[in-house]
Amino acid sequence: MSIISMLLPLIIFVFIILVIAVAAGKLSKLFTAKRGYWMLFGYSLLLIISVGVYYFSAVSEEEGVQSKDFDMNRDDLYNVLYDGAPIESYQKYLEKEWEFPYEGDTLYFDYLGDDMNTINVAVERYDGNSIEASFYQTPIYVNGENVREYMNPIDLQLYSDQLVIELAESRELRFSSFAKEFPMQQFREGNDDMWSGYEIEWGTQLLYLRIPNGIKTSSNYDIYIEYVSE
Amino acid sequence: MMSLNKMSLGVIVKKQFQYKLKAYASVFSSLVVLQIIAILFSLGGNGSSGSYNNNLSINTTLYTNTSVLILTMLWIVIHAIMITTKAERENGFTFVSNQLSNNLSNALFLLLASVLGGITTILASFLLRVIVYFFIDTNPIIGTGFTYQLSDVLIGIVAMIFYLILLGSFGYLLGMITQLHRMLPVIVPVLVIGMIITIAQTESDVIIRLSEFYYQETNALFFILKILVTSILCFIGAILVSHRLEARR
Amino acid sequence: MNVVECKDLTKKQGQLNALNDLSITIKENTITGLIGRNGAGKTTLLKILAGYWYETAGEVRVFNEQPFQSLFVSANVIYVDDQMSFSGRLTLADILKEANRFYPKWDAKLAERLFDYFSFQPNQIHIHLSKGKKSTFNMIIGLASRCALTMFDEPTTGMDASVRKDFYRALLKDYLAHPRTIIISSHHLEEIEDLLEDVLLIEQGKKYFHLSMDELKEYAVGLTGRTEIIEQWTANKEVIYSRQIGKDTTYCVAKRDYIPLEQAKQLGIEVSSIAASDLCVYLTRKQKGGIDDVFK
Repeated sequence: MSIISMLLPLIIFVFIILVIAVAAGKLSKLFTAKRGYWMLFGYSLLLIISVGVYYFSAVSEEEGVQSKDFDMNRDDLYNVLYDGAPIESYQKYLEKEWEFPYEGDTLYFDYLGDDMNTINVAVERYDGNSIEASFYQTPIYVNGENVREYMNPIDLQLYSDQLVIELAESRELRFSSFAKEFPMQQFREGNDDMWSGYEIEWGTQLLYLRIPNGIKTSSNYDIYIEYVSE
Repeated sequence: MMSLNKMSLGVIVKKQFQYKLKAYASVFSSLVVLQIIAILFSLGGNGSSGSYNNNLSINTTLYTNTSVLILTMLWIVIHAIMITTKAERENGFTFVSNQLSNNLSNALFLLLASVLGGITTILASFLLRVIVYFFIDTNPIIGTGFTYQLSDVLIGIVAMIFYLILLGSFGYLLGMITQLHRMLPVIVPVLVIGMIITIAQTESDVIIRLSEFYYQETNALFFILKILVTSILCFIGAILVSHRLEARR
Repeated sequence: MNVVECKDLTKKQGQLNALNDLSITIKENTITGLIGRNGAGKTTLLKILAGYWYETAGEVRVFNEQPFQSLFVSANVIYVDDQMSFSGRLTLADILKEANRFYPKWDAKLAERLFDYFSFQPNQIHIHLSKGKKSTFNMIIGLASRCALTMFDEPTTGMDASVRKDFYRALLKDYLAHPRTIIISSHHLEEIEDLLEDVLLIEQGKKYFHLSMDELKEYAVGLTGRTEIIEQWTANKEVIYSRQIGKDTTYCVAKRDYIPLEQAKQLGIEVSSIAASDLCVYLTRKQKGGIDDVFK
C-alpha cells in the first residue's frame, strides 16, 4: 500500500513528462520556425497586456492590508470564565443586550439551533429582579480583515420558565487570495516559510447572564455554564 | 595554392546558434502551449481550505502560478535532454561544426530558452490574476502582501531564469551521458527513478540540503554564483563526455 | 600539395577492422573515384576524412590537420551522403540559406539554378522528400558549398538515370570552372569512369591500388583462347579472373605486365582490352570464379 501510494506521484510525474515530450515532438512538426516565434510573440504580447491591466485596474489592490482595529492581542473572553476577569473591561466587544423581568424560582436553559455549535455561558448572581443578558464577541480576522460584522448574533427568548438560547444561522464566507510565487521570495530573509494563502484568527464568544440570587438554574443540555463570583 | 576557409570558433558558435534558433523554434511554441495549459489548470485554485467555528464557516481559495512554474521547469529539462539526442546532434553536424562548437551553441540556446522561460513564467502570474479577477472568481479577494511590487517581479524573473539555467544544464549533462552507450537511455532513467524512490524511502535529507544550498541562499550574488558554477561544471562535463562522441554514426 | 594523407590508418569497429593499415595520398584539384564493394570501408574512410569519426591507429591528415573535431577541416570539407540530416523544422529554402551562412564560398546562384532545374519547391521539408530527391538536394548542397575537399558517398542513390547523368555533368562543369579536390565513392565504376582522374580501389579496409584512369586502362588484359593453352600460360601468373566460355575456350583476365602479348597473339590467343569497371568488379571478387562457382 505504502509503495503504491509512493509510486503513484512518480507514475503521474513520468506520465506528465512523456506527455510533454510527445507533445513537443508533435508540435515541432506542426510549427515551422516562423510560426513558433509568432506564437511566442503573441503570447508575450498577451502577457504584457495583462501586466498593464493588472497595474491599471483594481486587481492589484489589496483589500484589508490590515484592518484599522487589527488587534492581535485582543482580549480573550475566556478570561472572564476562568480567570475571573471583570466583564466590565470587555464592554467594547458587547454585541447585544437583553433584559427579562422574571418572577419564578427556577430557570431552565435550552438551546435552539445547530448542535455542533456551542456557546460559553457565564452566570453572575446579583441582587435584582430581572435577568440581564449580554452577548460579547471579539473580532475575527481573515487575512487581517475583520469579518465580525458578518456574524449573526445569537438570540434569547424567555418562554415562561425557559430561557431559550437561539443560535444564529451559520453563515458561510468565501474569500479568495493570491500568493506570490516562490522565486519572488528568493532574496528575502526567511523565505522558507511559505504563505499558505489564508490566515484566520478566530475570536471568542461569550453570553454573560446576570440572574437574581433567588432563582435556581438548571439545564437539560450540556450547556457549559460557569458561575462567576462577584 | 588553394584558398582555404578559416573560421574562428566564435564565428562558428554564432552561426550555429543562429541555426539552432531556427531549428529549435518549436521549443518556444511548446513553452507557450505548456504555460497556457498550466494557467488553465491554475484557474481552479491551487489550494482551498475551509474552517468552521462559532457558526461561521470560512472558505478560502488560493491562486498561485505554481503549475506554470513547475511545468516550465520540466519543460527546460526535457528540451535540454532532447537536444542531446542522436538525431539532433546529427542535425548540428550538417554544416561546419565540431563537438565543442556544438556544445557551446547548445549552451547559448539553453541560456536564451531559460531567459525567455523565466520572463514568461513570472509574467504569466499577472495573466492568471487578471483572468481570475475578471472572469473566474467573484469572491472578495483579500490578503496581505500579495500585490506584486516591481522588486518582486524583478527578483522573481532573475531567480526563475537562474533556476531554469540550473535545471537546463543538469538535463543537458544527463542527456549527454545517456548518449555514451546504447544501453544508457534505459539505465539512466531507471537509476534516476530508483534514486528518487531511495531518497523518499530513506527520508534522506538530500533534497532539504539542496534546497538549503540553492533556495535558501538569500544573497543574490552568492545565489547567482552557486548556480553559474554548477551549470558551468555541468557543461564542462558534457563537453568532456561528448569529446569522443563520433558524429553521423 | 596533398589534400589528404593517410599513413597506416586503421579503424576498428567492434571486432572488425573497417580500415586496415591504409596509406593513401590525394593531391589537390583531382577527382578521385573511391571504389570498393559494400563494406570495403569506403564510408569509414570518408567519415574519418570529414572529421566525424576518429582513427583507431595510424595517422590521418587533411589539409595538414588532424580532421577529428577540427573546425578548420570542417570548414573546408563537405561530406554528402544519403544520411545527411536536416532539421525537420527547416524548409529546403531555409536549408540553402543556412548553408550560405556557413560556407564562405557558397555559390547561391548555382544553388538556386540547380534548385529550380530539378524543380524543388522552397517550402518542402527535407525528410518528406523521396530518396532520389533527397540525394539530388544533398548534391546541390555539396556542389554549391565549393569546399576545397568535397566528398560524395554513393551520391546517386535512388536517382533516376537522367538525373544521374545531369548530376555528373553538373559536377564536371563545376569542377572545371572551380577546380577543387573531389572524392566520389561508388560501387560501380562505369557510371563515373569518364569523370575520374584517379581511381582508389579498396578492399576489406586495404588499399588495392591507387591509379590514374589511364594507368588503370593499361592495368590488365583479357585473354581468350583454348583452355589448355590459357592454363599453361597463366600457370605461375596472377590471374584476376577466369571463366569457361564454350566447350574448350577460356576467358581470363591477367595483369598486363606478366604477359608477352606478341607471343600470345602468335599462339592464337585473342587479346582484348578490358573496361575499368569490369576490372574493378573482378578484382574485388572474393573467389576467382564468381557466383557460378557457388552452384558447381
